[in-house]
Amino acid sequence: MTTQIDWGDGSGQKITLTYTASEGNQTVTVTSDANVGYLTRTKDITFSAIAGGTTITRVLTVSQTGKNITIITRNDTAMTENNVAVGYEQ
Amino acid sequence: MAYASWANPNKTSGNGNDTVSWSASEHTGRESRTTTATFAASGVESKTLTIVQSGKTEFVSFTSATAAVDKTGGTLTITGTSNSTKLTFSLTGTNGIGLTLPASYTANSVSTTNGAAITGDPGATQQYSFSITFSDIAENTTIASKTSQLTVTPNSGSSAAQVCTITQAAGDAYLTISPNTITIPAAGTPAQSVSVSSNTNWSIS
Repeated sequence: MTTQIDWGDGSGQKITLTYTASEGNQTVTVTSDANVGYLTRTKDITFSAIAGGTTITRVLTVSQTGKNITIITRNDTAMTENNVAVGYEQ
Repeated sequence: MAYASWANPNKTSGNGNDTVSWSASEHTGRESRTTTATFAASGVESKTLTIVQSGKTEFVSFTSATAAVDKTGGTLTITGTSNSTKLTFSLTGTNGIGLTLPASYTANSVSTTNGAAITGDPGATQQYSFSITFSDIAENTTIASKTSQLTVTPNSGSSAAQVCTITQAAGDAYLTISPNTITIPAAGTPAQSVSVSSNTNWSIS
């Protein structure tokens, strides 16, 4: 089984969760579309179970790092443009 | 000699020709019981009447045909009455609760080995109480109730056997995930694993 959840950052990219069944004890594997941005993004995913009129929820926080870049500095001060650090991909 | 207290005449004195009716309180023992009543009148020889009450057919019964175990498990005692010489307990059908049959039970306040003759045969003269206790019943970790069946068979055989259905309440649902936080590399792989533990259906959103 596969569930895809949008990162919700406007990129349209998704987190993909894969598991064999949505009951009992399982291992869920989590992958994602590549993050083409330079910033780490975070998404909370909710696991829910309902039984006997009771709902149980657990939150999984998924973070994905951004691309590594080298920040251009001058005299150990990051160079910025419109307050955004300037760099290049490693 | 006075007659036994279980024998009850409708009158204890009279004059001339008459009819005396006798009744008796319930006799729960297997064997018949006997008493003698004496009719006496002045100036004549006394006459005796022998009163016999037949025994009750061998039986066994649970106090209730059902019993309940808490979802957390623990101890359960089931009681009943009988006049049999011996009782044999067994777990029949599906033992969903996973009960373990005790080696002994209590009959007429005496610990008795399951299936063995009861000391003193108390059922010969009157019914006796029995109890059997299940200990260390495991917690129900599922969200469905469980049942087991306890059968007690008297010495007369299975045709007189009785069944008590034992039900354990459903356990609470649980859901855990581990870890609670994962970090995926920028490339999107390799996959990160999350262990989900639950006793019911779950969903992701």
